Amino acid sequence: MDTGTVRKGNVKNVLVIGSGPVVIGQAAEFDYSGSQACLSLKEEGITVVLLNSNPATIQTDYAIADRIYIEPISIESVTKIIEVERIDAILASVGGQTALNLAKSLHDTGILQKYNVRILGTDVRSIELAEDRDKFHRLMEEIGEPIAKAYSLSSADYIQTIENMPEGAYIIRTSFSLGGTGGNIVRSKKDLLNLSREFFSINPKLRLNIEQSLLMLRELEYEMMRDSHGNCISICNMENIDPMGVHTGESIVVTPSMTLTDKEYHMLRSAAIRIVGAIGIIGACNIQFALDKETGRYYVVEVNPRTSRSSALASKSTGYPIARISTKLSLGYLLHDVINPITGKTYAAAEPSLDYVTVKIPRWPFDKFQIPGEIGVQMKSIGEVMGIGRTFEEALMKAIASLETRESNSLRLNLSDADLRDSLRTPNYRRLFAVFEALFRNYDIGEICNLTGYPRFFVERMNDICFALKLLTPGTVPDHLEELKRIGISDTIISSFVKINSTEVTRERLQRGIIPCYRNIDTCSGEFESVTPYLYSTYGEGSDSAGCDEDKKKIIILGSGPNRISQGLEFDYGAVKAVMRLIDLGYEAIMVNSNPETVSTDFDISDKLYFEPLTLEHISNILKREKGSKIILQFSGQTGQNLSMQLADLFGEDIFLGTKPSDIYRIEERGTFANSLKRLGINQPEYREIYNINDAENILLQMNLPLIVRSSFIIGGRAMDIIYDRDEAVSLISMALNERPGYPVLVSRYIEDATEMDVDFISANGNVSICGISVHIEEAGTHSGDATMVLGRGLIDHKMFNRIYKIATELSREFMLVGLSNLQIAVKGEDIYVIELNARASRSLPLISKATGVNFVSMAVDLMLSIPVKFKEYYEPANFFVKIPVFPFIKFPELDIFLSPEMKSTGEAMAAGTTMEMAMVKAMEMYHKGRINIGRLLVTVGDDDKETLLIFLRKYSASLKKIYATPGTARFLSENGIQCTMVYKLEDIRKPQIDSAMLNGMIDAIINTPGRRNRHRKDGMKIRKLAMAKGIPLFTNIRLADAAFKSTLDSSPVQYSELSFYYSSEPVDDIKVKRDAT
Amino acid sequence: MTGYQESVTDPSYRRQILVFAEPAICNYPLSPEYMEAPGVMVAGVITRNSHMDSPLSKEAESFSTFLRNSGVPGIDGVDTRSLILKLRRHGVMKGYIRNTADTPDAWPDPFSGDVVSESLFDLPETGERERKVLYINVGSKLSLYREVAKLFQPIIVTHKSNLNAIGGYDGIFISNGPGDPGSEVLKSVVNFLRQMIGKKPIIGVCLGHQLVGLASGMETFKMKFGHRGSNHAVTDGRNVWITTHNHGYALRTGKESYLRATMWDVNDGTVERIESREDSILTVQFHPEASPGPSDGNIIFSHFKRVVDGYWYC
Repeated sequence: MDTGTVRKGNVKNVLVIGSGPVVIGQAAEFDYSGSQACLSLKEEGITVVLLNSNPATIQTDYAIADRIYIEPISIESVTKIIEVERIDAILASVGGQTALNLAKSLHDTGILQKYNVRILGTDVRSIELAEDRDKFHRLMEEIGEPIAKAYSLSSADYIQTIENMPEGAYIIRTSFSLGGTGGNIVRSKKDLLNLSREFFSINPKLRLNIEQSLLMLRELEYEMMRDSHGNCISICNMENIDPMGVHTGESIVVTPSMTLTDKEYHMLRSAAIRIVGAIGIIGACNIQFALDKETGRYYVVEVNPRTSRSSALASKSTGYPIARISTKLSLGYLLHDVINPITGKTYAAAEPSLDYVTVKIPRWPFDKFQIPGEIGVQMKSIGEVMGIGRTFEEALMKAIASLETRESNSLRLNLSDADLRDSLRTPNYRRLFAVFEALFRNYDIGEICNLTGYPRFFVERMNDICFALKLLTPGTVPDHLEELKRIGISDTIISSFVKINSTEVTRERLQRGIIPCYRNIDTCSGEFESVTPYLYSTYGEGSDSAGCDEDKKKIIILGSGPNRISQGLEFDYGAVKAVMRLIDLGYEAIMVNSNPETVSTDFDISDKLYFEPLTLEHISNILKREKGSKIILQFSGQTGQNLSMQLADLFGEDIFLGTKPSDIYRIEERGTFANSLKRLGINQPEYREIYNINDAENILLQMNLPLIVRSSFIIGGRAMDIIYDRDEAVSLISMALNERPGYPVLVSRYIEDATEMDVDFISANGNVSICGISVHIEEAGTHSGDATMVLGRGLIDHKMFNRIYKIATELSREFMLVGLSNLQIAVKGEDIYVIELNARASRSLPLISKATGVNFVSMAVDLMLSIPVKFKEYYEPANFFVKIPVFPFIKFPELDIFLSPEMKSTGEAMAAGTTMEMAMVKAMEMYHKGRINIGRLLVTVGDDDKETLLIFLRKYSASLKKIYATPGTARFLSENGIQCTMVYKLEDIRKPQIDSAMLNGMIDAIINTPGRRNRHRKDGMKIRKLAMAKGIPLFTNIRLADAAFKSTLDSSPVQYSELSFYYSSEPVDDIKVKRDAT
Repeated sequence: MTGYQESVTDPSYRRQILVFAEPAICNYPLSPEYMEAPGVMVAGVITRNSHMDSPLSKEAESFSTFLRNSGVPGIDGVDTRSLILKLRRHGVMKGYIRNTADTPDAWPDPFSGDVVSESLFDLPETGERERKVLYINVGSKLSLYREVAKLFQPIIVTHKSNLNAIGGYDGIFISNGPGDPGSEVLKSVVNFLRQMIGKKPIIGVCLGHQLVGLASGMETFKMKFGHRGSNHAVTDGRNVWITTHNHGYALRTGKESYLRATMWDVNDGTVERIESREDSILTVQFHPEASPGPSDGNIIFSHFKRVVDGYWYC
């Protein structure tokens, strides 16, 4: 096949394959690289056709791509798009493993050849060389590059093979790994044998790739860029603080490397050039090495033949736009043909030189999931933060501040010495803080290095920080504040050590005139002038530019910080759209964010980018510098809401655009909010506020179960659950009170069997437009981020709409809402209950924007600036849309698979259709990776769901070939005249047992609802885990099962359409007609 | 963050104060392996955040001791980026480091007199090779010498040697070195080269490259702030190498005489390589020996070999 060295002009229509929903191991980094690639192609006058099922990313917006398909990412959809859009080339290197795998399938099935479509950049053969562990090993041996010994196991011969291997630690991987899934470390041959047996029992056809483990060696990465002529440069190298044994996505990473000698640095760089050349990469790629500092030997670990998480990081840490340049190279340009846009003068053929340091720390979900926080060769983190500073210390402390976790404010851990040592030894999500804690307790630095494998250099720098903090005395803001700032210590940490409120520390610092200067990230350490204001702060130096123009109309927009569960890239979408609108209106748009993976931190999106933590300290500093600037909090998720009062305290309310902080406070403070609702006569679930644990029992006795417990100012339903038991409620309340002392806990009645809706609206001066009403399929009580939601024409009847509209209008007037707001309601029969109001853009904003094609962000920004906007009661979608959540259960074996008010999903996909059934068919195809079959169904439900199940089974009796049920459920069904086959629970000796039925392929789909009162039943969890491992469609909610089953009855063929097709309801049968018309 | 030791011992930096753009140096221990000369060659060191006093390993001395032993001052904690931006705007400037508040009375030209001699030291003996080159040492780095000595047996001379009096070599190599290529003290070398063009194969690096250019009738000029560091891309129009540079002067383009410029800096077009097929001449402005820096240009040494062997361009 052609290697794709086409010059500009040869290609007209390029299909860019996106990475789909955000999952662990394939997250927002492709939001960045995918978007940058599209813009890079557009710049060449190429028509960009995009396929991505992810509605949350800015990539699926017409600002980025010309023609957009938010459809399942499958061979069928791509084939259809290739035909209709007359695609002549595909870019598959910016959509993660999903896009690469699809490109391989298109090649293998002959579709590329049939339609004469080329793959741009690295060709399929090269991708295979890099990804197939066997081929990769052979290639490395051929070119003489050292690599860990590898073995391949099949179910037929694994016992024999393992016997012949030397004793030691090994890593087990399955081919085409995604974020290290299936990567396990075993420390002995015995463990290897046991684990292999387990794998083969699930899938005997599997091949396991086994590698000698390089545990505890240094881990280094190089981000390389190679053109079709073979010129190859290194964009940067990255040093993992964590030694080998922790996935690089899970490691704390420093750019550039700090402890390598010049010889080591260039030994690895030269090796990288040889390897990348041997594989035949065109464009960006990432290569990982293990280095033994003692012997000076290195091993090649892995090559990612595409842009990756590390490319995003390297791009943001150097300023070199990797995805953009990589795309140019894949079109056939050479490195010295392309101008580096950050300087506007120098060429892409230059290795960036950094006069600053960046530190990346992953953001894990262990603060939400109550499971052990161990990390290793599997990806578990959802997002990451990056800190930039002139020194390692400064960069590290900024990264810590950006995490927005409890430890990031105190640096201390409350652990026993034994637990602390364990926390140092065993990689876990708080190990960095364990090192700080150990230093505070005066552990020997050598011992810390031995336990953690951290290089001494880093631990010594951390010790410098601890040393400075140990000298602080409580009660006063220290005189030598400036020195503390110079080593990067944040106001919040100082505040926690001197025991003074952090707003006061910041106020005091600002009064003393201790403010940072701002440096440019210019890829060249100041050697050339840079045209791009991509800035970070540092103390005690001069600034690169004299200052800021006070006469300019300028507006600061806060981003949403690290991707985490409940605050993902859907917020970045809003932030980017807002920046675009402000630029259109002639404002200077200033972005502040700390997330290296997203589009908002691309230097060419905003007029000015401050890459800084989203904390009071840094935002205050920027407000001081950007005098006369206004600020928008609405697109930063809960982060901005939580900062609003403190910012208003320091700067007054006038600087805020959109809903004012005092009103935000009245909404976020749940007691005040409930009182307001009561006054307005708006229904809400029965609630009580609890200020201390002594009152809890009394208050609970007066309330009806079940209950929902929540504390004020929380993100994403943290520590929320539906409680059926008073004792459990008491323990949860005490936890919530400890979590945020001084703030009350709100206990409210959970309304069973209600339907929840997310209502997004824009408003100003009491005028309201409803932008979207997303209806949850699961009953109220499932977190709105986890619920499967539908949007569509006619879903809300006129009467109901009017009532919703009235509530929104009343709330808008009461809280003087300006811009976007989100209202969550539960509907039961005729009753509407208000559950929550958010005075900010919501998670569903990109979804409703893409379902209607209306730029709500632009309208909201206009309203904030008092630019008149024509109000319309309801922007009802013309067609039907389903939002499907994506869950990380496979990465967290300890986490049970069921939905609750605590959010668990990492991302979402959108399915569209001209009928609800068609949208649902696609949704199920996305969710279950193919069409589902329901012929042989296993049911096992809790008592509460048995009646519902009965109705359900009767409804689908015609399609069900066979029903299996566990004894309790089976008895109930038989009593009610439904025939079924009994399967026995796991511990039962009778046959067939559930697990063997599942393993033997006797079951097509499973309905398993956890009992409401006893969710964590072991056998239920085992069934759910096994279903996931075997890929059997599993429904833990009957309403969702109903929607899914209904869709299987619809036999009309699935249509794939360009997004704008769904914006109108006129009957156009084929997208081709539409295309020719436009 | 790498290569600080190689840089401060580089003889080409003689009489110059070295400002490190990288915020932190001394993150890894000093080692005899990384010496480019027997001692520190720079006149002073300025850093933002070096870890000068912690030796980082039991055997190694600390960087401040290392500097002190060579009698070279260093200051840490300086806002080096501001200094660098100033240098970018105004070009290289005279500077001083002292521990009193007053400014010096006199500002002599740092390159007046024989700066080349100050950068010389005894190069180690090497083994025998098939071919010999006249190694004109005008401030050679150790690593460059080692690379050349792998190919040829060097007959070491300096700019002060009576070059015409020596014979028995197959080619001439001129090393890197400090200062202005147009300096009086180097005139004898340029004159010698002028005579030898066409008679013996000539190869050279950095200052050597500029001297060969001058000998062929080209001109040099002082650059605003020169090329330093190890990330400069050079190209022949199709191939790109990332190379180490250390020069404040360059050959002027458009006056190539009978030598052809065949490589240029990607960003500013500086002549990076000149050659003549007929006269067996090949010199490069960048440092093919790297140290510190990338080895992309290392292939030049095999070209050097071919030039001296007489089958260049075959």
